[in-house]
Formats: sequence, structure tokens, C-alpha cells
Amino acid sequence: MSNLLQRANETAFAFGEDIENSPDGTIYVADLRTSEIFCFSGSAAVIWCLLDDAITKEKLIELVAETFGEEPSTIRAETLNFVDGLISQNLLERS
Amino acid sequence: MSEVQQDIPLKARILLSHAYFQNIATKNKIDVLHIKGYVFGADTYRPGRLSSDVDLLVRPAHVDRLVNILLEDGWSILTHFETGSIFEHASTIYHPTWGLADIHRYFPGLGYEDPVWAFEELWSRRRHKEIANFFCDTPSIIDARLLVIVHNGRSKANNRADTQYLKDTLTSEEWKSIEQRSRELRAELAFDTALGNIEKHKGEPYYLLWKAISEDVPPFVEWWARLERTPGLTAKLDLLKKIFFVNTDHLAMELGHSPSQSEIRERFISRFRFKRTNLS
Repeated sequence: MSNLLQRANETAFAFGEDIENSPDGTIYVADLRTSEIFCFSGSAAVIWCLLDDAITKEKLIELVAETFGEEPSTIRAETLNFVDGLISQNLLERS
Repeated sequence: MSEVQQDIPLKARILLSHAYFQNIATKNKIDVLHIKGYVFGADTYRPGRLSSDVDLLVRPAHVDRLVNILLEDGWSILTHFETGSIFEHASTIYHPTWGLADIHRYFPGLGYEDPVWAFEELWSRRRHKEIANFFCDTPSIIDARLLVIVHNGRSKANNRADTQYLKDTLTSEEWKSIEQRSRELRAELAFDTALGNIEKHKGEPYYLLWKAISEDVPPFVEWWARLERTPGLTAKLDLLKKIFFVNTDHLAMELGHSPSQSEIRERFISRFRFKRTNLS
């Protein structure tokens, strides 16, 4: 199985910037199969954006660290925790 | 870091529900055009215009299949095609996550005698527009603008801001292309109604219907207009029942619950009371 992760095909998302009275930096993510809508903000929203292309967990950790100006070891656990949550919700799939 | 379905703004729900419908359509090979609202957006409407639902125009042969799939996926019907409007063109449905949507089985004002042909005309020139990071099928820009104007023909004269916006902002070439398209799609009556020129069509089929919907006329004019365009005695009798019997879909929305027999009876009788009051 590939180590590359990507957003599930049957998801869609809208940016808070396009929506009145919505906090900037918020992303609304829909699972089109289950009709669930998730609200991501802060680092979760950043990670969702970084998943534009198929990516490994290690590369993602590297990019998140670079984005926030932190050491990879500092953000590693939180990032992996969020990514595993996305996988368990079927919002991410292996490419 | 994340939460599920709490206080999701209406616009977010609407944008995402376009993606939901497109996904359903693609998976089930159902031809759907997303019309009006946020999918038309800034190339058709004035900036900042708000929308409250999703509108879909469905290939007539695919309507029943789509409705059945949606009902199985948690949607409920608020108004049926037959009770939604005098054109009987759309059904309003509701889902706890996605909110409201109107399923159109044809678009009033376009190719009356042949909705299959009208849909194919729009479909053949469709574009793919990204909404909620999902590509949705929607009419071409010219067709989108024409649909907005034709739709405005169903509004009273003081409520046609969308048409006025297009008149004020489009170049003469762009406007001519819409006029040309209105002829190709046999939409001149609705188009001219939106522009305040309905009298150009006096005596034509459907003239009275558009007069009734676009101007303040007594109810009997609307009833007569509908009867006039309904072929056959059986269909006319069905229409008379719809006109004079209580519209239970609308009553349910008004009351906030399914009406009981006594509430339906009360509403029916109240019409006679209203009539007596008027006569006295």
C-alpha cells in the first residue's frame, strides 16, 4: 500500500474567507457520502490545505513545521494525531 | 482542532451541498445543471447577493430516479411538483445537513412544449464551474444570464433587480447575445415580461399565464390562464381540484407540522368566509 495520502474524492470544502460572518482561517469540509460537515480552524485548516497533492506523513510534518516555524519534533505528535483522525473519518485515503 | 456540524453558516452549507448533488449525479449518471444562486455568482449577479437554497435543473427523464435516490439519502419533500407553483415545475426538498433545495423538472419560460429539448439545449452548452472545490455542471454564461432574466419574468415589476443589474452592466454585444439566445430557446415571452414588454405578446399562448404571474391581477385571471393552457377535460378537472382544494404542502409549511383533517377542513371553509366577507 502506498505511503502517500490524499483527500478522499468524495469530499468538498469551502473557505471561511468566502463566507460572511465566518472567522478567517476556517475551512468547512464535507464528507459527501455521509452528509457530515466538519469545521477546521488553526493548524487543522493549514494541514487540510497542505493536502492539495498526495503527500507522505513525513513530508507533511516537514511542511507543517516549516509553515509554523517550529521543529518537526515539536509538531509531530499533534500533526499525526490529526491526520489519523482524518483517516479514521475517511476524509483521507491512500493514493 | 475540528468539530462536526455545529453552527455551520448557511452559505457554507449551500456551497457544499452543490458538491453533494454533483457527486450524487455523477455517481448515478444523472444529468443535472446547477442553476441560479452561488453557482452563477459574480458573472451573473450583483456582488454580495445572497442565496438561501440550491436550485437544480434535471434532465426530465432522470427526475424520478434522482428524487428516489435523495429520499433514500435522508431528504424529505416539502412541496411536490404539482403543488409548488402554478407552473408545477419544481419540488422543494429538505435535508437536516444541507438545508433546502429546489428540484426543477423544467424551467418555466423556456421551450414550453418541449422541456426535453430545452434541457438538451442548455446541457449541450454547459460549463464546469468549481464550487466548494468540486466541479459542477452549470449552464453557459449566456444561458445563465438568460435564465436569470427569464426567472425575473415571474416577479412583479418592482422586484426585478437582477435583470436591471444585467442591463446596467453588460455591453450591448453581451446583451444582444442574450436576446439572440432567448429566441433560440423560445423564451421571448418570459424574456419580454421581465423587461416590462409583455404586451408585445398579447394573444399568444401563455400570455395570460405570464400576465397573471407578473402583475397584480384578480385570482380568477390566474385560474383562467391555467385552465386555458391545460389540455383535456380530465386534466382541467384535476387542475380545478388543485385550485380549489387546500394545498396541504403549503399549509404544512405554514403550520410547521403536517395538517390534521380538521385543520384542512378549517382552511377550506375559511375561504368561503373570506368570500362572504368580500361580498357583504
